[in-house]
Amino acid sequence: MIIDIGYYAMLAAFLLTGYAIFAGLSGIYKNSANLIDSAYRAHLATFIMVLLSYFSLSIGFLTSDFTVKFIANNSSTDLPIFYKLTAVWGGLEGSLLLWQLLLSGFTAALVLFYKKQHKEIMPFVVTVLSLTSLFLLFMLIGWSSPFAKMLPAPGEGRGLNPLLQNPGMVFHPPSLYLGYVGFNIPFAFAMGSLWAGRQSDEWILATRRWTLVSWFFLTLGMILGGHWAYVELGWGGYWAWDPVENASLMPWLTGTAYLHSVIVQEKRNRLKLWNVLLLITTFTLSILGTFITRSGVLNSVHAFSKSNIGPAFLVFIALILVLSFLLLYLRPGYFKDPEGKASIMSKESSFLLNNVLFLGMAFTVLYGTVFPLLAEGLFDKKLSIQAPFFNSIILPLGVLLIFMMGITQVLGWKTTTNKMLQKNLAIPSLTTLALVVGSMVALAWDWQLSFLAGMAFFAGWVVLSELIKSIRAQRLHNPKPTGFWVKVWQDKRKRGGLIIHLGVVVMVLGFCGNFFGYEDAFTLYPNQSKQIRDYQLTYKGSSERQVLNARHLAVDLELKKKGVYKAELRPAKAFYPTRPEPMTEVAIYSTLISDFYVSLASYNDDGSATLNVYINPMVNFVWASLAFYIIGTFYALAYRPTQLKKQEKA
Amino acid sequence: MNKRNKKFVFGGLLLVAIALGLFASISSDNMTYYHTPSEIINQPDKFLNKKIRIMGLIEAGSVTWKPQETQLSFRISEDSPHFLKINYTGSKPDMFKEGQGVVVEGQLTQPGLVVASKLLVKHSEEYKTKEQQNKNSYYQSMAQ
Repeated sequence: MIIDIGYYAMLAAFLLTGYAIFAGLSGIYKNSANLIDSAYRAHLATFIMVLLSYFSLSIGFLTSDFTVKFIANNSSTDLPIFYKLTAVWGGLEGSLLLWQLLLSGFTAALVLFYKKQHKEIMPFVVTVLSLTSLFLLFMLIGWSSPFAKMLPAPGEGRGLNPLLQNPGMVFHPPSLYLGYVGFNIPFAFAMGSLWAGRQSDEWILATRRWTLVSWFFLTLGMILGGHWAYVELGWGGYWAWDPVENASLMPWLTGTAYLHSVIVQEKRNRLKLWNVLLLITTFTLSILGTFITRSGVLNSVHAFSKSNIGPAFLVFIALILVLSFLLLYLRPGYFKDPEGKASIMSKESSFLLNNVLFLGMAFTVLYGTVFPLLAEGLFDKKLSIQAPFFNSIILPLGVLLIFMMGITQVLGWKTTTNKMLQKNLAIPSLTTLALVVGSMVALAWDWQLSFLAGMAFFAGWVVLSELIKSIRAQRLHNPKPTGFWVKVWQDKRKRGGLIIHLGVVVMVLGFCGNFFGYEDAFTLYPNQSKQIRDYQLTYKGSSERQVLNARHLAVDLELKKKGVYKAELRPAKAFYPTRPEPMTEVAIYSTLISDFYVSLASYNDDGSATLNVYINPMVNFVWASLAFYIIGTFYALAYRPTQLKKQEKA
Repeated sequence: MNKRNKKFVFGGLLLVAIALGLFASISSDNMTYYHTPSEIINQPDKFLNKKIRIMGLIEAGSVTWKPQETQLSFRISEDSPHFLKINYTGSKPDMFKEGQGVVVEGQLTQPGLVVASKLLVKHSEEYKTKEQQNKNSYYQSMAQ
């Protein structure tokens, strides 16, 4: 009953969106304010309908309504309430619904808050957005409907995949979707503004905050995903160049490139076409990522041809590309950059190089992810491209990128004097050079490690000294003593960027820790000990416990470091009533500098336990970088461009 | 086009060409084709001492697991009477059991014996029931 309400609400949302597009287009071409208002109201109504539909599915999960196929496949009666609510996006159909919910929510928000301020372009912008809505809603009422029935209903559901019963995995998909949908908005603004025939850049300032927030959520989503993989999958790492991971990395890379290059347009009125192309690419890659992860194409190209959702996604991607490029073709002369050249030693040039590096990385990831699929689909050859491929290309590009990150901080627009360069870069560069060479010669470090750590050190130095300069400068300008918080809350745009870049440095230092990692697999009998580097691990015995809806068979290990007791570790096998196979629950003894990570590989018949042990130095730096991203984004968001303030007054 | 621009275009093309060449060589070095056990058994000379990646199903009754030495040995096939013996040192993966599909990466040290450095168990829930009916499609599901 409630589920039927959800389905019909979804159907209504689809029809309303169709109507909104129709009314919007007629309104635009007949120049009728009434029709456009009617389209706006239809967008608001769409949001309400999608919300209703989302609630009805959630209630279906709460009441364990197994007549619904999606619920029967992703939930069970014994599932904790929290996971029942989050199981809504535990599968393809529900996550499309969540995506649609966010998209209609954002569309409604744009209509409510922007329709007066950007009166001329808003009808175009929301029409562009609602094309994606129409596609998603079409999938949701048809091929991948979360409301499809299954009769007769099974007595018990198959349960939520235990791997997804983890807080990290609960917030990872919504965060990524927020990022994807978020990047849809600058895309819609850019396209809408072109379509409306506006040559001004008002869309850039209007979407600045949307872009920042979207970038933040994409980043957050990937960190949560990496952390989930680390604590849940039991292989000791957080990134494996898996196609599913790559799918989220690609739009992040191009989105980050855009975040930088758009500043060149804002400040110097250049790279106009480039920015629009980056937005098209980012939006397309976010759809492509969903296609790759969700269409079944990864299991087998042949399995994919049987599903309908895959081809539908491909058609949609083709449609985005054709329409976008058609629009670019119809608006020649809109992208002319002003005359005058910028020197090599300028922010313009360094941002361009930064973009080339980001795109090089994105292309590498795209190639490595898609090529095996193409090879199988076209030539029926099965092959795999593995981590060494990605590492051997991404790592050098990354080293260059981090080096650029340091340099760019001290470059000016147009040009930079040699004096400035010497003053700001001479000491850090020489010190870094000495460290890189020294670490390779004296410590026999791998050259990759030396360069990566060296560049992180260099960038960290420059970024930190710029941050200090920003704090000092304000003291000079403003000799009167002001409150502490007033001082902290100044120069927000610059500091926001610097803090985020400092986070990148911290994260890269975390990556460097991988070069010092340790892994081993061995078997211990009760009361047997094993020495691993400074650690001593003793197998005390085994125990069984009930944890939420799972029964854990754990081995009790005592961890000592240099003879001092540190922790009791209990890696386990978790048995879920709805699953035939046990899951691995890892145990981690975590300190800022290093993690001691144990997973139980097998509990053997003779009472012995086979363990996988990893020592992961610096891994917590990777997670800690998130704090910098949060604070930095907060600063950057608080900044209001002066042009925007003027616009609002006028 | 003036002389200066020509220089830039030429230089740019040269750089792109070098980058693409590097890219192609790195990607072909790191591409591994999947093989079937019978391919390996039938052409031992071609694969001897080479790094290979094989898909197969674990033969019933062939698994021995010595926890003390963390030695796992088993045989794999692809629905045929030809078996390839696998020796692996490391822990036994979660879903490892008879009849399950695995991907093995390692070296063919002598005809019919692979010393594995990597062992992946492929588990796709949708295929559990179809497995018996259609091993061929099961196969295709294993390589991602």
